[in-house]
Parts: sequence; C-alpha cells; structure tokens
Amino acid sequence: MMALLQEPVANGRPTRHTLARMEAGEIPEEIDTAAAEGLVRELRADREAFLATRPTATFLAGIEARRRRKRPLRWLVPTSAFAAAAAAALLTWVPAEQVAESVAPPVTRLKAAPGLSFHVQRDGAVADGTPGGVYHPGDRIQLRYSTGAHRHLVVVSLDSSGAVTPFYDAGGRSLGIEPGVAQLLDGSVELDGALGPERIVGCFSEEPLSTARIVKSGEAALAAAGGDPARVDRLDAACAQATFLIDKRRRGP
Amino acid sequence: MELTLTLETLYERYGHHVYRRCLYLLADEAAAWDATQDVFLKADRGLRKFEGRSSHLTWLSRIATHHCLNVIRSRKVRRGKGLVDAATLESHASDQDSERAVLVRKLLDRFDLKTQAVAVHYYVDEMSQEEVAAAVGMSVPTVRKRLRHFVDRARRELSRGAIAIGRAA
Repeated sequence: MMALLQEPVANGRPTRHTLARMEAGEIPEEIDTAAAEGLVRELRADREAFLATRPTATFLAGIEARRRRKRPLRWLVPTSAFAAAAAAALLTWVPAEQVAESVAPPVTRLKAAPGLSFHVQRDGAVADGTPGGVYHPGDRIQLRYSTGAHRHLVVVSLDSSGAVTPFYDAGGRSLGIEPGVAQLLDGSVELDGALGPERIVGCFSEEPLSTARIVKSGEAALAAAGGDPARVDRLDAACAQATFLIDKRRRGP
Repeated sequence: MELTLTLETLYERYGHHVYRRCLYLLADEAAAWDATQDVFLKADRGLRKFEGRSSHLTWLSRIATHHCLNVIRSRKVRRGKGLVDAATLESHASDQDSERAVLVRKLLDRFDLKTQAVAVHYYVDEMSQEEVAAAVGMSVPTVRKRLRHFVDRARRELSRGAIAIGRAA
C-alpha cells in the first residue's frame, strides 16, 4: 500500500495534469501511448457528460444568483423597520458611522474595535442571526466579521458541556483576513447537540495566533465562570475580541 | 496563453475538472456542485488579476482544492471526526479516482491545510514538485519536506492499522 505513495510515476505516460492540460487545449496534444490516449478520451467524455447535465446556462444563472446573494449591501442596508432593528442588533459592536461607511464597496477600513455577526440556516432558509436568540442543534451558522486593522482571526465556541471548539482557523493557526465591514467567512458550522448557552468568541490580531492558545484561554475562562458560557466576559488572550451568545435548545415537537 | 477568458469559456473548458476535484474531496454531489459555483465565483473575481504565471487549469485546481479543503474543515468542526465515513467516501470514488487517490483522501484529515493541498496536487493531479510549488506558493524544498512528512505519517498510520485500505467492493 505504501508503494502507492512513492513517486507517482505515470507508467511512461505524461502525468494526469499534463494530459488534462492537453485535453483543455492549453498545450499541444502529443500522445504516444495507449494509456495516455485512453485517459484523454475519458477526460473528454467526462467534460461532455458534465456539460450535458450541468449546461452553461444553468451554471451562469446559478452564478448570478450567488452574486446577488453575496453582495454585502444586501445584508447591511435595511429594507424595512424590522430589518433596521435586526441590523442594529447584529452590529452591536460596530458603531453606527461604520455601518454607514459600508455603503462604499468593496471593503471599508475601520479604526474601531472588531465585530462579529452571523446568519442562520434553518430548514433551508437563511436569516440574520440575533445575539441571545434561541437556536437548535442542526441549525447552521455562518459568520461575518468587521475590523479596521486586524489581519488574523481565530473563532472559538464555548459551550455548556465545557467544550471549547475552534470554529474558524487555518490548521492550528489563525485565519488570514482582510480588514473591512461585515466580511463573510467561508463555510458554515452546524450547531451540535450540546444544549444551553453557547458563546462564540472571535479573537482578532495583527500578528498570527495559535489556535491551541486561544482554546486554552477559552477553557480557563469557562472554568473560572463555573462552566457557564453566559458568565464568560472575555478570554485572557492577547487579541482584540468580539463575542455573542446564543441559547441552544432542543427543537420543539 | 490567452489571459482574457470569459467565465463562460472557463466553465466550459474546466468546469468538469473543478467539479471532479470538489466531488473527490467532498464526496457529495450537491455539495460539489455548490462548491464548483463558489470556486468559479472566486475565480471570476480574480480573473482580472490573472497574469498567466500558471496555467488556467493549475490556477483553478488550486482555488478548488483550497476551497473544498476549507469546506471540509468547517463542516467537521462540530462533529469531532471526519466529514463522512470511509464507506461513504468510497461510494463516491469515481472510476477516474485511482487507488492512490482513494488512499490520499483517507489520510487527508491528519494534516494541516497546506500539506493537504500539496498531497492532493502531487498524488492526485500528478503535478511535478515544481508545479505543486507554483500552485501552492511554496518553494520546491518546502514541498518536498511536506511530502516527506505526509509519507512518514501515512506509513505510521497504515502500520498501526488506523487506515482501512482498499476500495469498497
């Protein structure tokens, strides 16, 4: 089995990457083995089958829908009194003038403290999340951050079972971020079955952070608060922090 | 090399490669299609800055690999273990996935993101070490070091039976 991880010699044929480049028309086709010819034929058939099931028009329509969905202004510009109230609640940590600045796309520089807000997906529908709100195991949340200067971020969750879990980092180190208002972090996180209050903490820094250190600080803070995430004020970590609490309850019948 | 390809042309030329990469890593057709669109959206944003230092295929392969590895990381964060079990992974192994590709995928979650990307480009795409270095933005010696680390760790995992080998029947 280990032999598979030795030098991936392609049995005398050009590498898969080279053949894929030939098939895409990036480099001239110079195929002199049956194995290579077979692989290029496979790639060509795969392209045809793929485009037959996912035609370009469908793809472009999906891209346009995503562009509309991902425009930051859609999330920040209130369209009704309710939305205005929700936006105000979401941006607890971002002063009002900074929200106004967010009208200037694509990224707005801030000078003040960082902020963290979130969206929730439940039963297929996505809505703005409310700090302190009730959410259920299985709901998915996606985070946005706002910061004026920080370039590194680790987000951890402190839950009522005593667990401190990294939500966003990059393989044990902080995630590299760009300063801006309401920047969407890639991917979402599914809320697990640990019920009770759960605190999400974003640690922002101008220098890289170690996730393990942030987790350790979270565990210490949770222990000092008697295991209650609602009583955790901040972590003893060398980073600027933004946090919100959610109340996780079992879904009703 | 043409530098000014439209999104439409990019998709028609490379869509199946991006989708295959996402399906290989995510082992879920809906998630792979979702990720494919995200990858092209990211590519579209970066298209104006594309300077042709690597080929379009290498560039898209890098974006797709990085994006899907991040999706896996964010998905498994609250589940404590791998995204899906080995049987599910194997059931999504396409005919194009070599035995090596299946083994690499089983090993990925034991490594940091950069090592994962290096391993996928090297063992699955069969890029040369120079091509991997260009794709992930590392020096060739660093790529070599990460590959050595990948193989050493794989050997340990395999020898203690932590990885089930072979494809599902």
